[in-house]
Amino acid sequence: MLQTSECDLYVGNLAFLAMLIGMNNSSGSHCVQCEKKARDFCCDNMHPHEMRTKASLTECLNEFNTRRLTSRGVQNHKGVNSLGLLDIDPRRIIVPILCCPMGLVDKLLATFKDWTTHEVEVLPGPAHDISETHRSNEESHAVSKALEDQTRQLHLQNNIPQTALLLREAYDARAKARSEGTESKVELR
Amino acid sequence: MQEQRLGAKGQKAKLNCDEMVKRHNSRLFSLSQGFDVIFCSHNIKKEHCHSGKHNGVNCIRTMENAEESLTEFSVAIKEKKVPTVSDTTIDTKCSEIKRAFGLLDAIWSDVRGIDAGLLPADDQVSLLRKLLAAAKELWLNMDMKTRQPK
Repeated sequence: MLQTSECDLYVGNLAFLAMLIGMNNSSGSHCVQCEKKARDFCCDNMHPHEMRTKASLTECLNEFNTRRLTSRGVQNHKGVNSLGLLDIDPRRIIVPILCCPMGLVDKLLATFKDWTTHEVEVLPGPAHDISETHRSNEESHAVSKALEDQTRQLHLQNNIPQTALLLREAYDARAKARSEGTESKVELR
Repeated sequence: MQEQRLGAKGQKAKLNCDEMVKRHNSRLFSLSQGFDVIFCSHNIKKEHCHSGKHNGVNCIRTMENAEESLTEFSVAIKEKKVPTVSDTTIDTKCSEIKRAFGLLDAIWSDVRGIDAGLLPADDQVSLLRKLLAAAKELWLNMDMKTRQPK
Protein backbone atom coordinates (compact mmCIF):
# COMPACT_ATOMS: atom_id res chain seq x y z
CA MET A 1 0.00 0.00 0.00
CA LEU A 2 1.31 3.44 -0.94
CA GLN A 3 0.50 6.20 1.50
CA THR A 4 0.68 9.82 0.48
CA SER A 5 -0.35 12.99 2.27
CA GLU A 6 -3.64 13.11 0.34
CA CYS A 7 -4.77 9.54 -0.16
CA ASP A 8 -3.88 5.86 -0.03
CA LEU A 9 -3.24 3.94 -3.22
CA TYR A 10 -3.33 0.18 -3.54
CA VAL A 11 -0.98 -1.89 -5.67
CA GLY A 12 -0.60 -5.65 -6.09
CA ASN A 13 -1.35 -8.69 -8.17
CA LEU A 14 -4.77 -8.64 -9.84
CA ALA A 15 -6.09 -11.74 -8.04
CA PHE A 16 -4.88 -10.35 -4.71
CA LEU A 17 -6.54 -6.98 -5.33
CA ALA A 18 -9.78 -8.78 -6.21
CA MET A 19 -9.62 -10.67 -2.89
CA LEU A 20 -9.02 -7.43 -1.03
CA ILE A 21 -12.38 -6.05 -2.17
CA GLY A 22 -14.36 -9.29 -1.75
CA MET A 23 -14.16 -10.72 -5.27
CA ASN A 24 -12.72 -14.17 -4.59
CA ASN A 25 -11.95 -16.19 -7.74
CA SER A 26 -13.57 -13.48 -9.87
CA SER A 27 -10.47 -11.77 -11.29
CA GLY A 28 -10.55 -13.95 -14.42
CA SER A 29 -13.87 -12.65 -15.69
CA HIS A 30 -14.79 -9.50 -13.77
CA CYS A 31 -13.13 -6.10 -13.73
CA VAL A 32 -12.06 -4.94 -10.27
CA GLN A 33 -12.63 -1.27 -11.08
CA CYS A 34 -15.93 -1.36 -12.94
CA GLU A 35 -18.88 -3.72 -13.13
CA LYS A 36 -18.21 -5.04 -16.62
CA LYS A 37 -17.80 -8.73 -17.38
CA ALA A 38 -15.11 -10.13 -19.67
CA ARG A 39 -17.42 -10.27 -22.69
CA ASP A 40 -18.12 -6.52 -22.34
CA PHE A 41 -14.50 -5.40 -22.03
CA CYS A 42 -14.09 -4.42 -25.70
CA CYS A 43 -16.26 -1.33 -25.56
CA ASP A 44 -15.92 2.26 -26.56
CA ASN A 45 -17.63 3.92 -23.64
CA MET A 46 -17.40 3.72 -19.89
CA HIS A 47 -20.14 5.25 -17.75
CA PRO A 48 -19.19 6.75 -14.38
CA HIS A 49 -22.04 4.91 -12.65
CA GLU A 50 -20.44 1.58 -13.63
CA MET A 51 -17.33 2.28 -11.55
CA ARG A 52 -17.08 0.23 -8.37
CA THR A 53 -17.27 2.04 -5.05
CA LYS A 54 -17.47 0.87 -1.44
CA ALA A 55 -21.24 1.35 -1.60
CA SER A 56 -21.63 -0.64 -4.83
CA LEU A 57 -19.54 -3.49 -3.37
CA THR A 58 -21.87 -3.65 -0.37
CA GLU A 59 -24.95 -3.61 -2.63
CA CYS A 60 -23.50 -6.44 -4.73
CA LEU A 61 -22.66 -8.48 -1.62
CA ASN A 62 -26.19 -8.01 -0.25
CA GLU A 63 -27.67 -9.05 -3.59
CA PHE A 64 -25.38 -12.10 -3.68
CA ASN A 65 -26.44 -13.13 -0.17
CA THR A 66 -30.13 -12.72 -1.08
CA ARG A 67 -29.78 -14.82 -4.23
CA ARG A 68 -27.74 -17.40 -2.38
CA LEU A 69 -30.74 -18.07 -0.13
CA THR A 70 -32.82 -19.29 -3.07
CA SER A 71 -30.13 -20.90 -5.23
CA ARG A 72 -26.91 -22.54 -4.08
CA GLY A 73 -25.57 -22.40 -7.64
CA VAL A 74 -25.02 -18.62 -7.53
CA GLN A 75 -21.27 -17.99 -7.37
CA ASN A 76 -21.24 -14.20 -7.13
CA HIS A 77 -23.10 -11.04 -8.05
CA LYS A 78 -21.12 -8.88 -10.47
CA GLY A 79 -18.03 -10.69 -9.21
CA VAL A 80 -18.60 -9.94 -5.52
CA ASN A 81 -19.05 -12.93 -3.20
CA SER A 82 -17.53 -12.12 0.18
CA LEU A 83 -16.52 -9.39 2.57
CA GLY A 84 -13.35 -7.62 1.52
CA LEU A 85 -10.14 -8.44 3.38
CA LEU A 86 -9.56 -4.71 3.87
CA ASP A 87 -11.93 -1.78 3.93
CA ILE A 88 -10.53 -0.07 0.85
CA ASP A 89 -12.00 2.11 -1.88
CA PRO A 90 -11.75 0.30 -5.26
CA ARG A 91 -11.28 3.68 -6.97
CA ARG A 92 -7.90 3.89 -5.23
CA ILE A 93 -6.62 0.70 -6.85
CA ILE A 94 -3.74 1.22 -9.27
CA VAL A 95 -4.07 -0.91 -12.41
CA PRO A 96 -1.56 -3.79 -12.16
CA ILE A 97 0.15 -2.88 -15.42
CA LEU A 98 2.18 -6.06 -15.95
CA CYS A 99 -1.09 -8.00 -16.11
CA CYS A 100 -2.20 -5.89 -19.09
CA PRO A 101 0.54 -6.78 -21.61
CA MET A 102 0.49 -10.38 -20.34
CA GLY A 103 -3.18 -10.73 -21.23
CA LEU A 104 -3.13 -8.67 -24.43
CA VAL A 105 0.07 -10.08 -25.93
CA ASP A 106 -1.14 -13.60 -25.22
CA LYS A 107 -4.47 -12.82 -26.89
CA LEU A 108 -2.76 -11.32 -29.95
CA LEU A 109 -0.48 -14.34 -30.36
CA ALA A 110 -3.36 -16.79 -29.88
CA THR A 111 -5.49 -14.94 -32.46
CA PHE A 112 -2.62 -14.87 -34.94
CA LYS A 113 -1.91 -18.59 -34.49
CA ASP A 114 -5.61 -19.45 -34.84
CA TRP A 115 -5.71 -17.48 -38.07
CA THR A 116 -2.71 -19.31 -39.49
CA THR A 117 -4.02 -22.74 -38.48
CA HIS A 118 -7.61 -22.33 -39.63
CA GLU A 119 -7.24 -20.10 -42.65
CA VAL A 120 -3.74 -20.24 -44.08
CA GLU A 121 -1.79 -23.40 -43.25
CA VAL A 122 -2.07 -26.54 -45.36
CA LEU A 123 -3.52 -29.19 -43.04
CA PRO A 124 -3.50 -32.95 -43.59
CA GLY A 125 -6.82 -34.51 -44.79
CA PRO A 126 -8.89 -35.22 -41.62
CA ALA A 127 -7.59 -32.14 -39.82
CA HIS A 128 -8.52 -30.02 -42.84
CA ASP A 129 -12.06 -31.46 -42.84
CA ILE A 130 -12.53 -30.73 -39.15
CA SER A 131 -11.17 -27.22 -39.51
CA GLU A 132 -13.33 -26.41 -42.55
CA THR A 133 -16.51 -27.76 -40.96
CA HIS A 134 -15.83 -25.95 -37.73
CA ARG A 135 -15.15 -22.69 -39.57
CA SER A 136 -18.32 -22.90 -41.66
CA ASN A 137 -20.31 -23.73 -38.50
CA GLU A 138 -18.87 -20.71 -36.74
CA GLU A 139 -19.71 -18.48 -39.70
CA SER A 140 -23.28 -19.71 -40.03
CA HIS A 141 -23.76 -19.39 -36.27
CA ALA A 142 -22.47 -15.80 -36.35
CA VAL A 143 -24.83 -14.93 -39.23
CA SER A 144 -27.86 -16.52 -37.55
CA LYS A 145 -27.00 -14.79 -34.25
CA ALA A 146 -26.84 -11.40 -35.98
CA LEU A 147 -30.19 -12.12 -37.64
CA GLU A 148 -31.71 -13.07 -34.30
CA ASP A 149 -30.43 -9.85 -32.71
CA GLN A 150 -31.96 -7.79 -35.53
CA THR A 151 -35.26 -9.62 -35.25
CA ARG A 152 -35.30 -9.15 -31.48
CA GLN A 153 -34.82 -5.39 -31.93
CA LEU A 154 -37.66 -5.37 -34.47
CA HIS A 155 -39.91 -7.27 -32.08
CA LEU A 156 -39.09 -4.94 -29.19
CA GLN A 157 -40.02 -1.94 -31.34
CA ASN A 158 -43.27 -3.35 -32.78
CA ASN A 159 -44.33 -6.15 -30.41
CA ILE A 160 -46.86 -7.77 -32.78
CA PRO A 161 -47.51 -11.50 -33.48
CA GLN A 162 -45.72 -11.35 -36.86
CA THR A 163 -42.47 -10.12 -35.31
CA ALA A 164 -42.84 -12.68 -32.52
CA LEU A 165 -43.07 -15.42 -35.16
CA LEU A 166 -40.02 -14.02 -36.96
CA LEU A 167 -38.12 -13.98 -33.68
CA ARG A 168 -39.08 -17.59 -32.98
CA GLU A 169 -37.87 -18.64 -36.44
CA ALA A 170 -34.60 -16.74 -36.01
CA TYR A 171 -34.11 -18.40 -32.61
CA ASP A 172 -34.66 -21.85 -34.12
CA ALA A 173 -32.28 -21.08 -36.99
CA ARG A 174 -29.56 -20.07 -34.54
CA ALA A 175 -30.13 -23.17 -32.40
CA LYS A 176 -29.90 -25.31 -35.55
CA ALA A 177 -26.68 -23.61 -36.65
CA ARG A 178 -25.23 -24.30 -33.22
CA SER A 179 -26.22 -27.95 -33.26
CA GLU A 180 -24.67 -28.57 -36.67
CA GLY A 181 -21.28 -28.51 -35.00
CA THR A 182 -21.81 -32.13 -33.98
CA GLU A 183 -21.43 -33.27 -37.56
CA SER A 184 -17.85 -32.06 -37.67
CA LYS A 185 -16.70 -34.99 -35.57
CA VAL A 186 -14.18 -36.82 -37.72
CA GLU A 187 -11.93 -39.49 -36.28
CA LEU A 188 -8.60 -38.05 -35.24
CA ARG A 189 -5.37 -39.81 -36.06
CA MET B 1 -33.21 -26.17 -22.06
CA GLN B 2 -33.21 -27.07 -25.74
CA GLU B 3 -30.65 -24.37 -26.45
CA GLN B 4 -28.49 -25.62 -23.60
CA ARG B 5 -28.56 -29.13 -25.07
CA LEU B 6 -27.69 -27.86 -28.54
CA GLY B 7 -25.03 -25.61 -27.06
CA ALA B 8 -23.45 -28.62 -25.37
CA LYS B 9 -23.25 -30.42 -28.73
CA GLY B 10 -21.67 -27.37 -30.37
CA GLN B 11 -19.21 -27.18 -27.49
CA LYS B 12 -18.29 -30.82 -28.11
CA ALA B 13 -17.51 -30.01 -31.73
CA LYS B 14 -15.34 -27.10 -30.66
CA LEU B 15 -13.45 -29.34 -28.23
CA ASN B 16 -12.92 -31.79 -31.07
CA CYS B 17 -11.53 -29.02 -33.25
CA ASP B 18 -9.28 -27.76 -30.42
CA GLU B 19 -7.93 -31.28 -29.94
CA MET B 20 -7.18 -31.51 -33.66
CA VAL B 21 -5.28 -28.19 -33.53
CA LYS B 22 -3.34 -29.35 -30.48
CA ARG B 23 -2.28 -32.60 -32.15
CA HIS B 24 -1.43 -30.89 -35.41
CA ASN B 25 0.66 -28.22 -33.70
CA SER B 26 2.72 -30.87 -31.94
CA ARG B 27 3.88 -32.31 -35.28
CA LEU B 28 7.35 -31.34 -36.44
CA PHE B 29 6.25 -30.04 -39.84
CA SER B 30 3.54 -27.76 -38.46
CA LEU B 31 3.73 -23.99 -38.70
CA SER B 32 3.42 -23.69 -34.93
CA GLN B 33 6.72 -25.54 -34.49
CA GLY B 34 8.26 -23.14 -37.00
CA PHE B 35 7.02 -20.20 -34.92
CA ASP B 36 8.61 -21.70 -31.81
CA VAL B 37 11.98 -21.96 -33.56
CA ILE B 38 11.77 -18.30 -34.62
CA PHE B 39 10.79 -17.27 -31.09
CA CYS B 40 13.69 -19.27 -29.63
CA SER B 41 16.12 -17.48 -31.95
CA HIS B 42 14.96 -14.23 -30.29
CA ASN B 43 15.31 -15.73 -26.81
CA ILE B 44 11.52 -15.92 -26.36
CA LYS B 45 10.66 -19.13 -24.57
CA LYS B 46 7.59 -20.97 -23.38
CA GLU B 47 7.04 -20.75 -19.62
CA HIS B 48 5.85 -23.84 -17.77
CA CYS B 49 4.52 -21.62 -14.99
CA HIS B 50 2.29 -19.85 -17.54
CA SER B 51 0.62 -22.99 -18.97
CA GLY B 52 3.39 -23.46 -21.55
CA LYS B 53 2.69 -20.10 -23.21
CA HIS B 54 5.07 -17.35 -24.26
CA ASN B 55 4.04 -15.29 -21.28
CA GLY B 56 5.48 -13.63 -18.20
CA VAL B 57 8.71 -11.83 -19.01
CA ASN B 58 8.52 -13.28 -22.52
CA CYS B 59 5.57 -11.08 -23.41
CA ILE B 60 7.87 -8.06 -23.03
CA ARG B 61 10.42 -9.73 -25.36
CA THR B 62 7.64 -10.59 -27.80
CA MET B 63 6.65 -6.92 -28.03
CA GLU B 64 10.25 -5.74 -28.34
CA ASN B 65 11.10 -8.24 -31.09
CA ALA B 66 7.79 -8.09 -32.95
CA GLU B 67 9.25 -6.31 -36.00
CA GLU B 68 11.84 -9.03 -36.71
CA SER B 69 9.84 -12.06 -35.62
CA LEU B 70 6.69 -11.11 -37.58
CA THR B 71 8.81 -10.58 -40.71
CA GLU B 72 10.23 -14.09 -40.25
CA PHE B 73 6.75 -15.48 -39.51
CA SER B 74 5.53 -14.00 -42.78
CA VAL B 75 8.22 -15.90 -44.72
CA ALA B 76 7.47 -19.14 -42.84
CA ILE B 77 3.72 -18.84 -43.46
CA LYS B 78 4.18 -18.27 -47.20
CA GLU B 79 6.08 -21.57 -47.44
CA LYS B 80 3.18 -23.55 -45.99
CA LYS B 81 0.10 -21.65 -47.12
CA VAL B 82 -2.90 -22.91 -49.05
CA PRO B 83 -2.99 -21.66 -52.67
CA THR B 84 -6.19 -19.67 -52.12
CA VAL B 85 -4.53 -17.24 -49.68
CA SER B 86 -2.42 -14.56 -51.37
CA ASP B 87 0.94 -13.28 -50.18
CA THR B 88 -0.59 -9.81 -49.85
CA THR B 89 -3.18 -11.10 -47.37
CA ILE B 90 -0.42 -12.64 -45.25
CA ASP B 91 1.69 -9.47 -45.39
CA THR B 92 -1.30 -7.33 -44.44
CA LYS B 93 -2.19 -9.55 -41.48
CA CYS B 94 1.42 -9.66 -40.27
CA SER B 95 1.68 -5.85 -40.54
CA GLU B 96 -1.52 -5.46 -38.55
CA ILE B 97 -0.25 -7.74 -35.77
CA LYS B 98 3.14 -6.01 -35.89
CA ARG B 99 1.46 -2.62 -35.45
CA ALA B 100 -0.60 -3.91 -32.54
CA PHE B 101 2.53 -5.24 -30.81
CA GLY B 102 4.30 -1.95 -31.53
CA LEU B 103 1.50 0.07 -29.94
CA LEU B 104 1.40 -2.21 -26.88
CA ASP B 105 5.18 -1.87 -26.55
CA ALA B 106 4.95 1.91 -26.79
CA ILE B 107 2.18 2.02 -24.15
CA TRP B 108 4.16 -0.27 -21.86
CA SER B 109 7.33 1.86 -22.25
CA ASP B 110 5.40 5.07 -21.67
CA VAL B 111 3.66 3.78 -18.55
CA ARG B 112 6.93 2.57 -17.07
CA GLY B 113 9.00 5.58 -18.15
CA ILE B 114 10.42 7.39 -15.14
CA ASP B 115 12.82 9.68 -16.99
CA ALA B 116 11.23 12.78 -15.54
CA GLY B 117 10.79 11.36 -12.05
CA LEU B 118 8.29 9.04 -10.39
CA LEU B 119 5.26 10.94 -11.58
CA PRO B 120 4.62 11.15 -15.34
CA ALA B 121 5.31 14.43 -17.14
CA ASP B 122 2.54 16.17 -19.11
CA ASP B 123 3.99 15.16 -22.48
CA GLN B 124 4.14 11.52 -21.32
CA VAL B 125 0.47 11.62 -20.34
CA SER B 126 -0.44 13.27 -23.63
CA LEU B 127 1.48 10.65 -25.63
CA LEU B 128 -0.08 7.86 -23.58
CA ARG B 129 -3.58 9.15 -24.36
CA LYS B 130 -2.81 9.12 -28.10
CA LEU B 131 -1.28 5.65 -27.96
CA LEU B 132 -4.21 4.24 -25.98
CA ALA B 133 -6.71 5.70 -28.45
CA ALA B 134 -4.82 4.26 -31.42
CA ALA B 135 -4.41 0.83 -29.79
CA LYS B 136 -8.05 0.72 -28.75
CA GLU B 137 -9.22 1.61 -32.26
CA LEU B 138 -6.98 -1.05 -33.82
CA TRP B 139 -8.05 -3.68 -31.28
CA LEU B 140 -11.75 -3.05 -31.94
CA ASN B 141 -11.17 -3.02 -35.72
CA MET B 142 -9.45 -6.40 -35.47
CA ASP B 143 -12.66 -7.64 -33.81
CA MET B 144 -10.81 -9.32 -30.98
CA LYS B 145 -12.32 -10.11 -27.65
CA THR B 146 -10.28 -10.41 -24.53
CA ARG B 147 -10.60 -11.99 -21.13
CA GLN B 148 -9.36 -10.35 -17.99
CA PRO B 149 -5.57 -10.11 -18.22
CA LYS B 150 -3.87 -11.91 -15.36
